[in-house]
Amino acid sequence: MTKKIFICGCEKDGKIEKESVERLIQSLEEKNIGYTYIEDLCGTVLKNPDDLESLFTAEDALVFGCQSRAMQNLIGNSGKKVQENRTEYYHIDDKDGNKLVESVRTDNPKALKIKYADEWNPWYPVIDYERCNGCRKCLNFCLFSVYSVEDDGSVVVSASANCKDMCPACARVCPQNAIIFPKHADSPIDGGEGEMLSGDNVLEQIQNDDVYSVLSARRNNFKVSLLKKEQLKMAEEERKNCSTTEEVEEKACDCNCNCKTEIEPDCACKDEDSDKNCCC
Amino acid sequence: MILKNNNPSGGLGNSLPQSPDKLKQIRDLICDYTAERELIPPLQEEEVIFHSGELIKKHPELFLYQKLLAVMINNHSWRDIVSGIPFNRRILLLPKCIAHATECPAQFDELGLLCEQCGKCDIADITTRADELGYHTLVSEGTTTVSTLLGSGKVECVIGVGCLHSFEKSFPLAVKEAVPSIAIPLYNNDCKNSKVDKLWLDEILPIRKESNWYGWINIDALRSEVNSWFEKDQLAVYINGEDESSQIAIDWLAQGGKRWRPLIMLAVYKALMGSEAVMDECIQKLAVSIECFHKASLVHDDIVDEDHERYAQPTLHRQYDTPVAINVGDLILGFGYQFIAESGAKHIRKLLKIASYGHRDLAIGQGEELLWRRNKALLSVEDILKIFSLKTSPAFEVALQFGAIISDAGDEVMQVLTTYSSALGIAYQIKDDLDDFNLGNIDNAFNTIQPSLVTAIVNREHPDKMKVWFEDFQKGNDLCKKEIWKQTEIREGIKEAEQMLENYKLKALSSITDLKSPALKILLTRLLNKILNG
Ligand code: SF4
Ligand code: SF4
Repeated sequence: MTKKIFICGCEKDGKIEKESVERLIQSLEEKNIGYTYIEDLCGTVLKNPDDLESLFTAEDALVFGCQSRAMQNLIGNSGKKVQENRTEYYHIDDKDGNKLVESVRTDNPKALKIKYADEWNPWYPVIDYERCNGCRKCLNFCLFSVYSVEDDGSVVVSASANCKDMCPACARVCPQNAIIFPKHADSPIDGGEGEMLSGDNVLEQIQNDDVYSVLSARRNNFKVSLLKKEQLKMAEEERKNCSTTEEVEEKACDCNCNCKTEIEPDCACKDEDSDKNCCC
Repeated sequence: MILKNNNPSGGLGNSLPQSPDKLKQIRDLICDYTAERELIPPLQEEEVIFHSGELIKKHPELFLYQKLLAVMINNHSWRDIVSGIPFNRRILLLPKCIAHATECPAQFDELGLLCEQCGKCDIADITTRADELGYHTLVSEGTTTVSTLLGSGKVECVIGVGCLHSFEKSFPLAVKEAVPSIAIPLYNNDCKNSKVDKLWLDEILPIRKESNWYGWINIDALRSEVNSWFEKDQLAVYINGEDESSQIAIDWLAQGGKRWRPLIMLAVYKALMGSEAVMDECIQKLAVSIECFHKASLVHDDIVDEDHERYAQPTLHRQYDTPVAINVGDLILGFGYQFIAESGAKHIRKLLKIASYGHRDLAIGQGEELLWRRNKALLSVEDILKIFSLKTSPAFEVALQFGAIISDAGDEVMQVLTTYSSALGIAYQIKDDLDDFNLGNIDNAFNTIQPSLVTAIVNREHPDKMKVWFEDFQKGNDLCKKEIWKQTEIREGIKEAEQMLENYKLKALSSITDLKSPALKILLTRLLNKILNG
């Protein structure tokens, strides 16, 4: 099985652990398998797409990097990949992917490098067209005109460099969860699994209802959820305590004696014949 | 290709002094500067730029801080009004980039970050403080949430923290909706671990002054009040004829529509009178009278234009027949004058004069159009603008001036309202025209009965082509219908019309610069936006 192997190091952001990259590279070199190391796929796709020619045209390729869905759509969005060719995407730590490597043979056992030397931090959205339904919410939402509509009605990311560094807000607005920011720290915005924390469409409510009551409700809900979180934490701790320590023995008597107020009561009086002033 | 590469633009005069003292010093300078002149909000962008230019002339060393100055001047113009707004009607907007970039444990929803008060950044502190005062706080991820909020037209006051860059984006929106707002810039523009001048924020957050600020007018609430006056049994109190024509008139008046005119009158009245505005019978009668003139003109328009539907119902001449409709229209006009006369308002004579002038101008405008139809040639751009002005402006003008007169406003205000409504009226019609074109509503756009600005523009530039299209269209050539949108000539015509729309909007806005009442100024700014955007 001959495949081309690509590894992205996400150097502009550091989303990928250096060790993981090194481990993979090492195992490839041990087996004398050729690979291409890409310093920053996000950056190169946008700034120097010609450098990625070998990836776009590879008949069969394995790409390792951040979230597979992110990379797949990143490449897909570029519109440059030869469609019918096979490319699989794996997270650099994905066990299956790493296993696959073992059976790979390459024509050219050399290591190549694709540099990304630009100052600009490649932060921009990628649309997953399997999910996008063209509703245009992102387009209307973004203030920096990052999105636009093509003649055929599809929504595209047309001014990627306008995107505000670190702002993933449009991804939260998308009702289809179709927007990926590959460099975002958390799932699912980075293309990973998981559900988006939904605010019950607060944005829409804000446009249609009384802004102030929507905001108050949101705050109160959050307070309650924080409280619940606290309670859960406490419950958790209590359970831990319960399971580790022995049942606390009842040492105190039932009478009204003074030693009741002591921290560690050690009372020896008989219930019946004691009163408040008794000191046992 | 989907990904394109374009670099964001850098800006001049974008810096911010990095110390609270220096910032305070500039704030004080601005205080002095504004003390010498009356800055009545909302200021337009040009005004803000003008004033920052003046300041730089006086203090050339501030040249670096041009944008900051603009922000501060704008802040200053709003200060009094903001102080008059209760805390619980204010929204504090913080940017997420203040949060700890790597260790913030908070989650996000659509509106932004939900701070867990871990204390690793200033947000916990600031929100606690704001909470105590009664603010609603949002920690948003992008200026985009801000834009949704501002654009909702329902926000009464915003204290916004953000980078100068983001203010540039949101400023136009804040101006459009005339939201009382104070903006506090971050020290840095790079969206990570940002810092805000807490001294400045602490100075702004607690500002509060008892004032008679009643300026924020809840247009939606007002609309429902107005709508209740047009319930059938309410109308029957004023129109007590048992005859069938009167009944038809009541039905017609009670039917749908946006009720812009009575709404405008009331809003102006509220803006100018503040807490002294009372919605008594006199005001109600005047509001109904204004709607009468409008609804009567619609009955007649529908006949003239051979329209079959209005408010998703058959038009009056379809429900009955043309003679009945003409007569009911006349009757409603009569009611209009009757209600003014019976309103018991202080300035009945002035009101009657304004109503009758409006009535007259509308008919003259309509007349121009009708006479034009007889010879079926395309009108010139100038003719169309004149028709637009005569036909639509009076309606707004009557409503605005009614509101001003019942509030005892002076002549300067009346003058401003005339200029404003003329620009607004024309803009409204251009917008209407453009909607036909942009929505692909070709039958309306290429109408042989109604004059259209876009076709007039195209005709002026390319008379030969226009002639062919026009003939094709009249023959009912379908291809022409579908293809016409793609023609560059049409696209250019649409562009030019859009530019004209912008110009008339600006004209309307600049007409109100000198108004002394911020409440009225704010209202007219908001109305322009509301009326032109549906
Ligand atoms: S918001 Fe989501 S679904 Fe809607 S157009 Fe944008 S990417 Fe597509
Ligand atoms: S204080 Fe709030 S916003 Fe700041 S880092 Fe902690 S949780 Fe995040």
